[in-house]
This record gives sequence, C-alpha cells and structure tokens, in this order.
Amino acid sequence: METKTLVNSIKYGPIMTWGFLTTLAVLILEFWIFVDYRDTSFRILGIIIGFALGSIWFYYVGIKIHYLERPKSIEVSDEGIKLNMRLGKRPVIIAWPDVRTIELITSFTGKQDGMIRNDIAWYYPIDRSIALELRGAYHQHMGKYPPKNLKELCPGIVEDRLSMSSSQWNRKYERFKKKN
Amino acid sequence: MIIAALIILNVVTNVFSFLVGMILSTLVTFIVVEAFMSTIEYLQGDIDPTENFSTLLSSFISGQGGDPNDGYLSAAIDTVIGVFDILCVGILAVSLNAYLDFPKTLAASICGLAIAIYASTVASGLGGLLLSVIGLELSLYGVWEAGKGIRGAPDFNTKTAYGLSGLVALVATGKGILGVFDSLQGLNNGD
Repeated sequence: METKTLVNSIKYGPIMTWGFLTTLAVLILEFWIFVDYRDTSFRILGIIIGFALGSIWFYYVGIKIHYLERPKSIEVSDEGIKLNMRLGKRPVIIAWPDVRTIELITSFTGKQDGMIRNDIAWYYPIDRSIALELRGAYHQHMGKYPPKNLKELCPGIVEDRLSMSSSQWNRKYERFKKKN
Repeated sequence: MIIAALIILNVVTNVFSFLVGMILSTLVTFIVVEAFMSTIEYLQGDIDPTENFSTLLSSFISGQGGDPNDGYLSAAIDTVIGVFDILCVGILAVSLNAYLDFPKTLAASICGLAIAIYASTVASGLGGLLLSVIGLELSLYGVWEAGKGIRGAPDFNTKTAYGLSGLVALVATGKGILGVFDSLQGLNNGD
C-alpha cells in the first residue's frame, strides 16, 4: 500500500466559543474591579492582570487544544499513521498495533468530529471523514475494526475515571498508556 | 444518578476540607514567619520579641470587627483552631487520596471565588490580607488543577467541564491578586 496523505481541517467553532467564554470571564473580572476600586492605578493593574490571565487561558483551552494539537495532515501507510502537526511541531508516528481507539464523536452542539488515540488520556482530533477512512485502513491491516471508544477498549475504564483519583486510575490502566 | 450524587457529595466535602486546610496552612505559615521574626528580633536585643505576634493577632481580630481584649473571644479562637487542626488532618488526607479530581478542582475554584468576594466586601486590615491570600491560593490551585484536568481528560466533554471550572478560578485569581495588593497598600497606609 502506498502512503496516502489526508488533510485535516481546522474547527473554528470551539476556538471562537472559548474565546467568547474567556472574554466574558475577563469582562466580569474587569467589571468587578471597576466597581470595587476607585483608584486608577488599580483599575489599570486589573486590566493588565485580566488580559494576561485571559490570554494564557485562551491559549491553553482554545488555541493549544483545537489548533496546535490538531494534526495538519495524516499520512497512512503499511507501518501505521503519521500525524503531521502544525507550526513545525515534531510529527507523531503511531504503529497500527499501538492505536488505542479511532472514534467518531458528537460535541455538545451536535457537531461531528473524530479522534485517534495512542494513549487513554491523550488524543488527537481529526475530521470525521478521516476517522472513517482510518478505521477502514486499520481493519485492512489488523483484520478487525479498532475500538470506537474507551468503553469498548476496556469496559469500566470511564466509570473508574469518575470514582478514582487520577493516580489510582493511571496505575490501574497503565497497560493502555502510550509506549515510548 | 449515583455518579452525579457522588460528584455533588465530593464537591461539598471538598469545599469544606479546602477551607479548613487552607485556613490552617495560612495560619501555620504566619506563625512560623512570626516565630522566625521574633527570633531575629531577640537576637538583635529585643527583650520582648513575642509582642510582635500579639500585635499581629490583635490586628487580625480587630480587622474582623472583634475586641482583642475579650477573653472569651481569644478562648473561642484557640478552640476553633484546635478543632480545625484535628479535622483538617483527617479530611485532607482522605481528600488527597480518594476524592475525585473534578470535584476537587471545582471546589477549589468555588472556594477561591467565595473567599475573594468575602475579602473584598467584608474583611479589612490584616484579616482582609489573610483572606485574600487564602482566596488567591485556592484560586491558583483551581487554575492549576483545571489545566492538569484538561491535559489528562479522556474526552471532549470532560475537557469542557474542566475548562469552565478553570474560568471561575480565573476570575477569582484576578481578583485575588488585586485583593492582596489592596490589603498590603491598606496596611501600609494604616487602614
């Protein structure tokens, strides 16, 4: 099988939603500060702090998750999957046996997307059409379809996440963690 | 249903344990710092170095609207601190080992915000500073845990929940930072 390259699109919806929510939180903070302090220097300091905290949070939940960590393109070959990341980040290579799940997901707002995991606590968001294609490629190489979610990978894993501390959960499901 | 009840129970219990733990840890920090400062003063020739700590405690009680010369009030404070001490050891030990990650994060954010509101509206003087520091500590912890939660969450929905919890902590952190500056400025001006 020759290497096939699939281009992964960017989802602007979540980025804009987090931008809106973060801006709203910062505006609430600024309003609170404006009402609480009459001193101009405190108000200016409040604006600086609000802007700094808001920017950091938006980068972390909006830009990093939905842009930087969303692969730019995906190369499918006989060995496995190569995820080419954005802004020159090192590509991620996942051999077929190391694929944990290839999922088709529906967000709160009903938007459909996909994701691929090589670790139970880490995943890469991909387009739904690419996820479908990767599931087919996995079937072709491994003789079966990959698990479609964590529950199928290991029954009880999601329920345990809600009833255990993270260290206990990580220890119990160590075998599903990413291989170095 | 059971999981939802468990999460709510954890949030409530964590709110309590965080308040207790943070108040105690801040008091202990103050006492250690004061003991250190008193030792330095004693070595420099001050004949009554403990006066420093008494002044600190008196201003704390006055800051909350109390009378530092009231014997009943002092006895009550000693009792409350003693009870906090006993409770926090057990509760925090359980909290850190067995409690769920998300309720812990949300509880820290809610507590940080509640304390920031209280510190900015009611408390003044050294008491206000103390509360602002506690609020800031909790809010920062809330931001930190939410960040960790987003990183390790198994799905989009959990990431979103941690993200929203982090936004609450973010507002409390911003106000907490300003609250600490404000309290310090107030103390310098003798308010």
